[in-house]
Amino acid sequence: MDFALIWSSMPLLLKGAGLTIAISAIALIFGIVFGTVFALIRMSPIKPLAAFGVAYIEIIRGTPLLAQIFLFFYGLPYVFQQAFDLPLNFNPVVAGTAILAINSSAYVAEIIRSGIQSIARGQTEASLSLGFTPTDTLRYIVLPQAFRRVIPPLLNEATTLLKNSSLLSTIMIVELVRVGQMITSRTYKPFEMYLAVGFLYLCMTIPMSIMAARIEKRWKVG
Amino acid sequence: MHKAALITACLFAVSASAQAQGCMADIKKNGLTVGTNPGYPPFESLDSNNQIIGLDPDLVNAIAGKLGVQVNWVNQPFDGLIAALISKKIDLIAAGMTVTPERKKAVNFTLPYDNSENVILARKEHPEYNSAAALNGKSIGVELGTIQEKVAQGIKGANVKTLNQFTDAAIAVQTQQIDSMLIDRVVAERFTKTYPDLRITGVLNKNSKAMAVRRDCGDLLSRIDAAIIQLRKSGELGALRKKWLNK
Repeated sequence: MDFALIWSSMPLLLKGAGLTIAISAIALIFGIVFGTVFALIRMSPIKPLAAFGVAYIEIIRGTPLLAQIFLFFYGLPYVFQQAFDLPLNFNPVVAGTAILAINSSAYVAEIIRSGIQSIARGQTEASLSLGFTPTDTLRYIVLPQAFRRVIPPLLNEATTLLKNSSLLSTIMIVELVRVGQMITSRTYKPFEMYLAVGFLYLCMTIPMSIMAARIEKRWKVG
Repeated sequence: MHKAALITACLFAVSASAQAQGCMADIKKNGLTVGTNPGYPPFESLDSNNQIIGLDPDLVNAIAGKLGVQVNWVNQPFDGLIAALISKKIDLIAAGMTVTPERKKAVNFTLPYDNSENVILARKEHPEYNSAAALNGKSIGVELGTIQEKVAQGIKGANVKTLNQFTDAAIAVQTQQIDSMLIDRVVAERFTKTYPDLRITGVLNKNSKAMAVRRDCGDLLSRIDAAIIQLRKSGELGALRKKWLNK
């Protein structure tokens, strides 16, 4: 075991971890915003709109993230160039964050939908019969309760997203796993390096798991 | 010729000190497991049936014929090949690998089977990317763990992008995601045929390619070197180089 290598690689690894956190955080925010929108689209009473929501969610959730990344980053610009003879330059970090956000939004949409649908139908009926408008019912009765229920699965999704961001190592983004690969490619010591990389991921994911468990415990009692 | 004699002498010293039996006994029993990354035509690429073809496979098959062993191919990213060799996942690297002092510290190289040079590949609109100095401030795509990555890291002001495959880098240059890439001349010439917008715009340093074996496999190394010398004398190596490299 070459602990000296782990130690001497730490500044580079931490820099990679910083980019991992930044990309994941931004992708998560956009993922939650778009996910909420797509949850509402999916539950829309307008049939074609709901069908579009279902198609979006199923296509994204039913295909591997790695394939989506390659399609978006390598495939799309090439087809675009062939078709229109125009360059479609994606900054890798922007493209990578965007595809992560798109991917996450499909999972978030399902989390939000299940949260909303988990609120007993009787509450909505009671609220409407008491004279609340449908919008007020959603705003004051359903969403506050749904919000509590979706926080733990959303934190779960955030953990998944953080780990999934490692796939961006394939499109020139020097995030945590890529830093590990680059160091391994010159030191030939994969054990030490991926142990260090794994440890750094745990430093990020364990606090999120603890947070999710605490929130779940506190709100379940109430 | 005395270079080969010297290498053989060194090998005897290494194999005598390391391990009396070496690796040939296992290889005779289980076959020779060869690691490569087939995105590097004409050294190795995949044909329409996903079979690995190229100079390296043909050369390895010819050598294996002389050694009387079966060949098992392992297709994996280039940057992990040396780690795979050291951890005994594979017995031999045949991946158009350039001999470097850093790699020599980790593995033993066979006799070289090709000498070439590293070149700059860019889109046809940029003939001015003709030297290392001209790439200052430009993005350069290279495959992770390759000699070209090392060359690129040495270029002042360069924005080095490491990819998993040279083929990915070629698409990225073609689609203007990056400005240029560094690659072996022979492979560059193939890419200019695949992507007609790409041109070789500059020439950098020379390289020398060989196969690599684990350090405790002195017996395998000396058998392979002997086979390469035989293939050279018989003209078979020359014929393979003519077929694949047109040299």
